Amino acid sequence: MNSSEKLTEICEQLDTVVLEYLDLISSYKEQWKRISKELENGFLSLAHAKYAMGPSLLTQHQYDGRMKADTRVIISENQGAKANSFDNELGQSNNCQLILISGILDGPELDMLFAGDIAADTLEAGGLRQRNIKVSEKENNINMSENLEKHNYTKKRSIKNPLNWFGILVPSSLRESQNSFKQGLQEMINIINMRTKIHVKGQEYKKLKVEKELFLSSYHNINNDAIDAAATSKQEQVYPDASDLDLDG
Amino acid sequence: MAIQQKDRNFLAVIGDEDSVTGLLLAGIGHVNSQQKKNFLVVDAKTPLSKIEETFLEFTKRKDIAIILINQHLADLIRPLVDDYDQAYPTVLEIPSKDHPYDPEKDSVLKRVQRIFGE
Repeated sequence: MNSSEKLTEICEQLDTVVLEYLDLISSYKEQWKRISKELENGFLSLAHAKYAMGPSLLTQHQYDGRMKADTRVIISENQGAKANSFDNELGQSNNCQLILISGILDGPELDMLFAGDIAADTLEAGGLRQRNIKVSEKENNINMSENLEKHNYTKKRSIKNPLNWFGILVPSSLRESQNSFKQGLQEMINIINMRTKIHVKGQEYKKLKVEKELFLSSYHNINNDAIDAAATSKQEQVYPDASDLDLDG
Repeated sequence: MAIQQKDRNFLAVIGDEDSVTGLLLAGIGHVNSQQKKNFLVVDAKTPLSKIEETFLEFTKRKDIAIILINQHLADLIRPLVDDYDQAYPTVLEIPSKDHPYDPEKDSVLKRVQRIFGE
């Protein structure tokens, strides 16, 4: 591959990266619009609920002092992302993405989720693989899955719906507000994941730009050397004994 | 990596009462066994030192993955927020009822401007 082909290749890569980068920025701005919209709806419904319930019933003093988080995030390694030199430069966080989960508490479920066992178990418990298993094993599996479901159910039930902090019969606008904030939260997680992608793409762009500049400077140096060499040889042809000339004479 | 970050499951929030109430309704509120909350309601009487202290506390906690903070409150502790450079917990500035999202203050867009302005 000669120099001009290499340069063209770098420029094409740079163009692709810039386009992808700008696409991500555009999606990022769109995503912010969606978040703002969801939160606006949430605040509006909350204000409506305050109006319906009376301002003193919807304050921080009504929060449950023993609340447990029902909505959490897990940081999972992004298997699809290629581990390249950018990741190493920026630390491991660029290879990760956040996932919003709901209704899972501490303990075995979380460990299973991290080990990736839940997906496999679900597949095996409910999928086609049960066809060839003996009846007793099937029964065991069913019992186990029932136990797991019951276990999850009791755990889920133990988390009190935050709506009930403010009363049993709450206005529908408070439910709407809750839904809007849940949706907004999901969008926030998406934007954090998008931010990571933008960061990685930005680093990729910077690296390619540096590579191009280095290549161009070395290319110019080679060209200048070649021009100098050509000029010297031409001079030698015109004045073959120029070095021997006695300038003082 | 996954093992190191396994315990980072909570979202923390620093915001005005409506923002915190909304996000707690979404289910992120948690009070642990040491009675430590993962949220701070900021009103007109809350001193700046309390916001700074809470922000630093959240950044040091090993069980928090995301810190959500109202953009107008992040402005009050801007040097702290800008100096913070750890991957986790990650900080996201969110709009509030009275202060809509301002792209001018967005760190990502600022970085983009820097990259193309160089």
